[in-house]
Amino acid sequence: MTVDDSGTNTRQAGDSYRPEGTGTLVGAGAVEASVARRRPRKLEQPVQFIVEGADAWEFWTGLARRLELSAMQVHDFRGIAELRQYLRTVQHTPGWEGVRTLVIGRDCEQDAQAALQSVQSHLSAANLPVPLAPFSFEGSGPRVAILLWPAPVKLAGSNVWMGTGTLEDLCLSCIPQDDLVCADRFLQCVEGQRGPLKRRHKARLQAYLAGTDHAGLQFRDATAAGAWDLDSGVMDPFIALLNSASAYPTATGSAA
Amino acid sequence: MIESFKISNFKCFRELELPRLTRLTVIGGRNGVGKTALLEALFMFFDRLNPNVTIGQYARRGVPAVPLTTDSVFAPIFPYFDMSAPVRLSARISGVAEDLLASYNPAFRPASVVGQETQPGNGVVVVPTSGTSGPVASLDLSYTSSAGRQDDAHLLLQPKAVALAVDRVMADMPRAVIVGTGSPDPNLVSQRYGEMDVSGTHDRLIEPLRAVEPRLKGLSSVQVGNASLMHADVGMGRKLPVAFLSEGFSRLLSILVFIGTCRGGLVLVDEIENGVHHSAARSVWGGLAAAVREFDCQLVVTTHSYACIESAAEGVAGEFAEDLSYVRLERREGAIIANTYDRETLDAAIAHGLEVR
Repeated sequence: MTVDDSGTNTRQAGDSYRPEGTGTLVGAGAVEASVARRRPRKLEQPVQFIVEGADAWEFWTGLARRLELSAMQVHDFRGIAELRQYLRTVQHTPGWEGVRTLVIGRDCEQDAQAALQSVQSHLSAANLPVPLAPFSFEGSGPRVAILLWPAPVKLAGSNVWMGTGTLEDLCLSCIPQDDLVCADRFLQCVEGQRGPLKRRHKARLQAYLAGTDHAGLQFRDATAAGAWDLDSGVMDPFIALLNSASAYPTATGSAA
Repeated sequence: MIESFKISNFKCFRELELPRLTRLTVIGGRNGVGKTALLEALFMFFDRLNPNVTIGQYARRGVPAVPLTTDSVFAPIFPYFDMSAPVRLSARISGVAEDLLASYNPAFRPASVVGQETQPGNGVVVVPTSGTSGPVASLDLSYTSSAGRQDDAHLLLQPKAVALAVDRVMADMPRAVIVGTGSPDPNLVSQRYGEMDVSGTHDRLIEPLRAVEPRLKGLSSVQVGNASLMHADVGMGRKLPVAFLSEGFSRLLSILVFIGTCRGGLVLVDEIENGVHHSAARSVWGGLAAAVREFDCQLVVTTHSYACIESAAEGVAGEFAEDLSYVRLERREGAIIANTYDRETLDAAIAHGLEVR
């Protein structure tokens, strides 16, 4: 992972989060936000990985750093509603001509197929290559891939992708499932008393963290503190895709 | 209003196409990519019948005098000073296609004409020319428009001056002004203010100028010796020469005065952010947007400042929002290209904190 102009990728574990956009403040001081405003982001690497939201940016930035993917830059496109305009705008941004690979990542949420289709439609509207399935590359100049998490599964005999969940679910799937027994019992108790939780995935993650040395940390801070086992086999398809993205040859023949 | 502009063979540009210019166009890009040259191409298109059209660029760059040679007077407008191919500037202005061709002619024989001549650093002097001289070096200027207008003139290199020989010219050229990185000639600003005073539009300047000088109550053009200088009433018991107020005030006044006296024309400003405090920039842009609309003028500016571009996007809002566009010049594979942002794309880039310069 390289340092980008905004300094957003220079953060070390334990630092507070510095927002990338014009800076809705997220757990950081106004000084940091103003720094981000003064230093707009350039596209400095041939592999651009754009993800939905600050938490995802923190998570995937950490993984890219861990994997030493020096040709990859991670950006936050903030929300799916903004993806279409982001994809149009990023093509005007200085450095775009050097981008060889674009990876777009987002949650499956309630419906992996719908999540895939939304990204596909935004890519099409931005005149970019449209992968037919997640975890595969399409086109060139740049080639494009879509990542969905936690883990979409192709329905046998069709092109439909199944699966639900969020980044929190992916993180929790990285830890030994026995470690979640207490958290799940707690949530079962709560829901028995008060009914179903609206944001169960977040509650489950916080309940798990409460029983660890990371108690009290927000998701991004827990991520930065190394709360998730990124060596888990659950991460293998993601790591394989990101390694493949970074190994794409450049025009000069060297790896991107 | 210029809707599009194409440059061929001018200074650093072999070919450059600006497919969309709006009432307020901001030009960005790295050093040496041709932002100022683009302004000069636009200015030359409008100022083609001014004998100062080529040597004026020296004054704007702070060069006081130049030798009257083809290499100094004509060659700098050609790529690599190579005058073998003509400069062509093409514009679409309010639906009309217009074209200016500037060709070097080493042996022009003037007919009997009345011309103008100028020397570097001096004002324009109108002199009669006999038209019986031998061949002289010339920059032949040929302008045509799809509306039927045609101008033909020759910029002549004389022993002591540059002269303009005119074959044919039609009236009613729109005005253009170029403002360099510093403050323009205060005498010219004062004269132009006088025009606004005569037409009763001078009071329109006060409100936008309060963005940088909230105390401003009024303005006057005052004769001081041989010059006419702008004075401002900022509530200090007497009016002060504008030059004694801030650089930003002086410059903004100049720009607004030029906008107010270029109806249907073009005002070009190099490095518009100069002298304006960031806290005032948004209001300044709001005032400029209202002024160019009111006076039916077009403003093309350059900047190096991201904050300036952000302020433009914030200040040129509401009913004026679509008047703003942004163009970044960039070098790609040895050529300079224009990357045009429409309003939506510019807003998105700023909202996401993406670099645009």
